Amino acid sequence: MATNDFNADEIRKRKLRGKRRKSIREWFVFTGYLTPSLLGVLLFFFGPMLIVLVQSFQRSSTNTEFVGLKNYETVMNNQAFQSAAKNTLIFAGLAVPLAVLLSLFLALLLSSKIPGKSVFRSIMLNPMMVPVASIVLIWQVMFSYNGALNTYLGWFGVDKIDWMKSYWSRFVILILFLWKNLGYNMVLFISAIAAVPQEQLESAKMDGANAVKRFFSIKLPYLWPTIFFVGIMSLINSFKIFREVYLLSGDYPVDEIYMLQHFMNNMFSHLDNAKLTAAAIIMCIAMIIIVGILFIAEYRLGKDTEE
Amino acid sequence: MKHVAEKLLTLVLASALILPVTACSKGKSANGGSGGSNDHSTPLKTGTIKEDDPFFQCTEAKLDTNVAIDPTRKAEYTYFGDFVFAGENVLLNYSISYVVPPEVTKRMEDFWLSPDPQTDSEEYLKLQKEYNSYYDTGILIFNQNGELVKKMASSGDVVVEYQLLATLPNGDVYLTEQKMNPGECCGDTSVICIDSNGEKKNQLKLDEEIMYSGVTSIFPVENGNLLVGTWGCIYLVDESGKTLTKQEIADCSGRILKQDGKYYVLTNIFDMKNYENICKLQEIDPKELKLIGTSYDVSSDLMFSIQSEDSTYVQELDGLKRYDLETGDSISIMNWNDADVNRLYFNGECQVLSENDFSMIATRVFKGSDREYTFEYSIAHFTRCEKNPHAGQDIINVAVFETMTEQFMDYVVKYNTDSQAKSRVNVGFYYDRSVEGADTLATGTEVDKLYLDMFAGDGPDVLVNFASMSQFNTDEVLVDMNQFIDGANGLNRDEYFDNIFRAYESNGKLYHVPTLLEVNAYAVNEDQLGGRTSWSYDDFKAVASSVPSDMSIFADMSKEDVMRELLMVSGSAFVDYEKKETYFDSEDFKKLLEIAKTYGEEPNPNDNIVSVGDGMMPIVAYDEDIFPSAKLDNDMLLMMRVYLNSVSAYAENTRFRNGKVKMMSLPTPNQDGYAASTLMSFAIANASKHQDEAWDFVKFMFEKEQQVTMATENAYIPVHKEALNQVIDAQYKEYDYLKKVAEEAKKTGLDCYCELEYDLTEGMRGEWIAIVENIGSVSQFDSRVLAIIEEEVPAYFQDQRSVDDVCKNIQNRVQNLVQER
Repeated sequence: MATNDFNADEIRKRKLRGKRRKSIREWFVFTGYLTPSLLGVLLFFFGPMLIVLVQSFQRSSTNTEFVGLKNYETVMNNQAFQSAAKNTLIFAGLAVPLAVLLSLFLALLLSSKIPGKSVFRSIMLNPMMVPVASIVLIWQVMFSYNGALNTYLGWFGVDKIDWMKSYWSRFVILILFLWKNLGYNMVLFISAIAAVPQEQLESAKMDGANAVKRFFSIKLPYLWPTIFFVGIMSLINSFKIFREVYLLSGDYPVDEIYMLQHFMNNMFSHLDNAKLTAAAIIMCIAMIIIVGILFIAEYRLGKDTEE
Repeated sequence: MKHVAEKLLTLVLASALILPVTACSKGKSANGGSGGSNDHSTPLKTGTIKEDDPFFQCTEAKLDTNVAIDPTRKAEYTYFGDFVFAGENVLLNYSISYVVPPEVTKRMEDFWLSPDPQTDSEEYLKLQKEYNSYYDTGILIFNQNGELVKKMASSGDVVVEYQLLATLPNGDVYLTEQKMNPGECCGDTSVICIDSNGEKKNQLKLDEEIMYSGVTSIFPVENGNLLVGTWGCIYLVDESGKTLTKQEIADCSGRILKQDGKYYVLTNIFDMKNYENICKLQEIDPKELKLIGTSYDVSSDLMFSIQSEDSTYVQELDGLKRYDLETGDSISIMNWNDADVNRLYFNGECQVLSENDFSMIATRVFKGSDREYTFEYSIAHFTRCEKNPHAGQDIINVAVFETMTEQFMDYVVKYNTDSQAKSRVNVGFYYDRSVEGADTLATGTEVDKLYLDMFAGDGPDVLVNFASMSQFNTDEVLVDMNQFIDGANGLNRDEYFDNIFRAYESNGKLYHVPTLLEVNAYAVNEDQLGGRTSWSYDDFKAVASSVPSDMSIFADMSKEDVMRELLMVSGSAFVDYEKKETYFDSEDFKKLLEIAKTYGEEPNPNDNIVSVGDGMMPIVAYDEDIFPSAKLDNDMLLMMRVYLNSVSAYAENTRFRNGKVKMMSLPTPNQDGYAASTLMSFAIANASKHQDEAWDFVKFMFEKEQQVTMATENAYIPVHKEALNQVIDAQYKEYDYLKKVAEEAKKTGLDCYCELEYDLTEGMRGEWIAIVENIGSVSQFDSRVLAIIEEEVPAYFQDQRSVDDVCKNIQNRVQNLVQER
C-alpha cells in the first residue's frame, strides 16, 4: 500500500510540475505577443507622460530647477488659459450631449421600418470619409462673411452675420462637430439597439406597454453601456475639434472658439515648456475626473442590465 | 505542426514590428559628409583660452602699388586687382588712366567732328598714340616682403593688356597677353606662361574654341600636358597648346581641383528660384577625360577655392578650411577668431604653404584729405604659434546678424589686443541666404537656431544687430541692460541721449541698447501744418482734410502701407505687455484705420512712365516731375518719407519748397516724437556666464572715439552727445569741401556732377540735434499682432465691414495673444 501511496504522490507531483512548466511556457508565449505593443505604449505614451509630468515641476525646458506647483499656479491664473478652459468646457458641455442624443435618435429612426434606411445610413457615414482640409474648405465657403449662407440669408433680407468672428462661431464649430461625428455614433447605437432582446420587447408590447415605455424600461437599460462609450468618444473628439478650428481660424481665433489646445499649441510655438506641460497635466486630470464620473455612472446605471 | 506554424507566424509578426526601428539611422549623402552645405555659422568656443589653443601670428608687408604710377602725371582712375600668388611672389594686374590734357581731348574731338574722319590716316594714328600714352596697363610682381620684383607693362606705342588666368602649384602663371597697335580696337591674344619672377617660359597656342570660351583654370598633368578648363568643356592640351582631346560637360564651370592624385571637375548651376549656386563635383580621368563615378553636391565655396599642390582650401567668413573633395567635409585650418586681424580686409586670395603657414592679401580703403578713396594692399603672412599668447583669458562670443562694418571689426581687434581687456571677443556672423523677394527675418532658420540655443542656455554672450527681432525680448533670453548702464561700471547717462535708451525700452526693460541709428521722418509742407510741431491723429486729419484737392497726402503708399507705418511708430499705444492689455477697440486705433483708408492710395507703377521704347528690351523714360520730391516741391504732395542719418541728410531734405518743409514724425496717439531705426545694437544673453565681461566689451563700443569713427564712416547717428557734435563738425567740413570743388569745377567750365543741391547752414546744427533729442520710439511692431491686424483690415478697406466690427475682431483675437505671455 505504501508503494501505491508513493506512486500516487509522485504522479501528483509530476502533474503539478507539468502544470507549472506549462503555465511558465504560456506566460512566455503571451508575453511575446504583448511585448512589441507594450514597448510601444511605454516608449511613446507612458514615457513622454512621465517626462511631461516631471517638466511641469521645473522652471523651464532649459532650467531643471524644481519650482513645485508654481507653473500650475501661473497657468491657472493665466487669463488666456482660463478663457480657453471655459470655452472647451462649454463646447464639450454642448457637443457631447447633443452628439449622444441626436445619434441615438437617428439610430432609433433608422432601426424602425422606414424605406431607404440603408441609403440613409451610408449618407450619414460619408462625413467620416471626407478629409479635414476639404471639410474646412466647405465650411469656409459656407460660413465666411461673403459666403454662401449669408448670400442665401440676404435673399430674405437678413443682414450678413460674421459667423466665424462672433459668438456664432461656437455654433458653427458645433455644427461641424456634429456633422462629422453623428454617423459613427449612430452606427454604434444601431448595433446596440439590434442587440436588445426582442422577446422582452414583444412581451412588453403584449402586456400593453407603449413605445415610449418600452424604450425607457427595456431598450434604455441595454443601451447604457453604449451611451457611455459614445459619450466618452464624443468627449475625446470634442477636444480634437482644435484641428478644424485651427485650419479655419489660425493660431488666434475669436475668443469664443479659442480652445485649450490653442493655448497649448501656442505655448509650444513660444517654447514655453513650463506653461505647456502644466496645462497638459491639468487637462489630463480634468479628463480623468470626467471619465471617472462617467464610468461610475455607467456602473450604477448599467448594473441592473448585467444582473 | 499547427502549433509550430503559429509560433513562427508570431515571431515573424514581432520582428516586423521591431525591424523598422533599425532604419532610423541618419542617412549619409553620396559624399558621406556635410557636402553641399552652405552653413556659415561659426562654431562657438567657450570657456578660457588654453596655451595649446590655436593662434596665428600675422605679419604684414605693404605692397607699394604707387610704383606703377608715373609721378610726373596725375592719375585719374587706377585699378589694382586680380591678385595671384605665384611661388614666393605675388602678381597683380593694374591699369591707370591719367588725366588727358584738355588740348589733346579737343584735338580728338575735332577729328571726330571733322567731315570725313579717316581712322587709317597718319593724323589719326598720331592722335591715337598720343591718347594711348595716357593709359597704362600691366602686371606688378612683388615678393613676400612687399618689394617690387618686376613690372610688366606696355612699351612704345603698343598697348599690352594682360589677364591672369591660372597659377600652378610650382609658381608658374598662365596669362593672356593682348597686344594692340595704335588704331586697333582689338589685337592679337595669346596665352603665355611666365615664372614667378615674370620671366616668360613658353607660349601656348590654344585653339580658338578654347580662347572663345574663356579659360578658367589650367592644371599640369603627366608628360607636360595640361588640363584646361573652360565653361562647358575640359581640354587636354600638350605643352604647345595643341588640343589632344576634349570632354564636354554640362554646366562645367571650368574649375579643376586635385586631391590625392585624383582630378575633379566642378559644375555650377545658378538656381534663380532660391538665388543660390548649386555645385557638383565629379572625378575625371586626366588622360582620357572620361568622367568617373557619379557627381555629388558640394559647397559653392569651391568656386573660389585655393588649390595647393594636392589639397583644396576655401576661405569662408569664419576662416580658412581644407575641403576634402571625396567626403565633402571641411576641416578648419584657421578660425578668424584665432588671429588678431580684421577678417573683412581679406578678400579671398590665399596661398597655403602648409597648414601652419599661409599668406593672404589684405585690402584697406582710406579716404584721403582730398576726399578721394585710396586702396592699400599688403601681403599678410600667418604663422601658427606654439603657444597661445592670450591663454588664461575668458572667451566672450559675439553673434552679429548679417555683416558688419570694417570699423566695428577694427575695434574688436583693438579690444582683443588691449592688455587691459577683461576677456577675448570671438565674433560669429549669423545670416541667411537672401532669397529675392523673401523676408529674411521671417525665414531666418539660422536665427531660429540661435534663439533655441540661447533659450537652452547655450549660445553667444552678446548679440549685435538683433534689435528688430522681438522674439528675443524676454527675460529668459536677454538681460535688462539698464542694470549695467546704471551699475558701478556703467555709463554716465548725461553723456548720452538718454531719450534714445528710454525709447528702446520694452516694458521698462532695455534688452537691446542702440549705438547707431537713423530717424524715420516725413518732410511735410510747412504751409499746411498751421504752425504745428507735432500732431495727433485728429491734428493729422484736420491738416489732411484741408489741403487743396490736387494735393496727395502720401506718395505711393497703399492703405496697408500707411497702416503699417502708423503702427510701427505707435509704440505701446495699443498693446501693453506689462498689464497684458490691448486697446484695439479704442478711438485712437479706429482713427488710425480711418487715416489709412482715407489717405492710402494704390500706387500705379505706370504713373510716371512717359514713354517705352520698342524692341526686346524697351527703354523706359520716367517723368521726373512725378517723383515724390518734385511733387512736394510743386505743392502736389503733403508729405514725403525721408531717412535722416546726418545733418547733411537733414539739410538735403529740408531744401524742398525753398526750405518751407518741416521734418515731422507720423502722428501717434501719445505724440511720442520721432521714431528711430536701428543700425547697430547690442544685447547680452541672460544665460551668459560672463555678463560683466560682455558688458565691458559693449561699454568699449560706446566710447566716444568708437562712436565718432563708426558714425562718421557709415553716416549714422551715434548715441554719445559729444560724438554727435564731432560727427556734425566733420559733416560741415565735408560740405565746405564739396562746395569748393563745385565752385572750382564751375570756373573750368567742365561738367561736374558735384553740384550741391542743398545749403547746410549753421542754424541746422541745432535743429538736427533737436530732432535727435526728440527721438521717442523705435520703428517696430510685434509681427504676430501685425499679422492678425493685416488679416482683418482688408474687409474694412474694401468697405465690407465697419471699422467698429474690424476693431472688435482684432481686439478679441489679439487679447488672447497678449494674455498668453
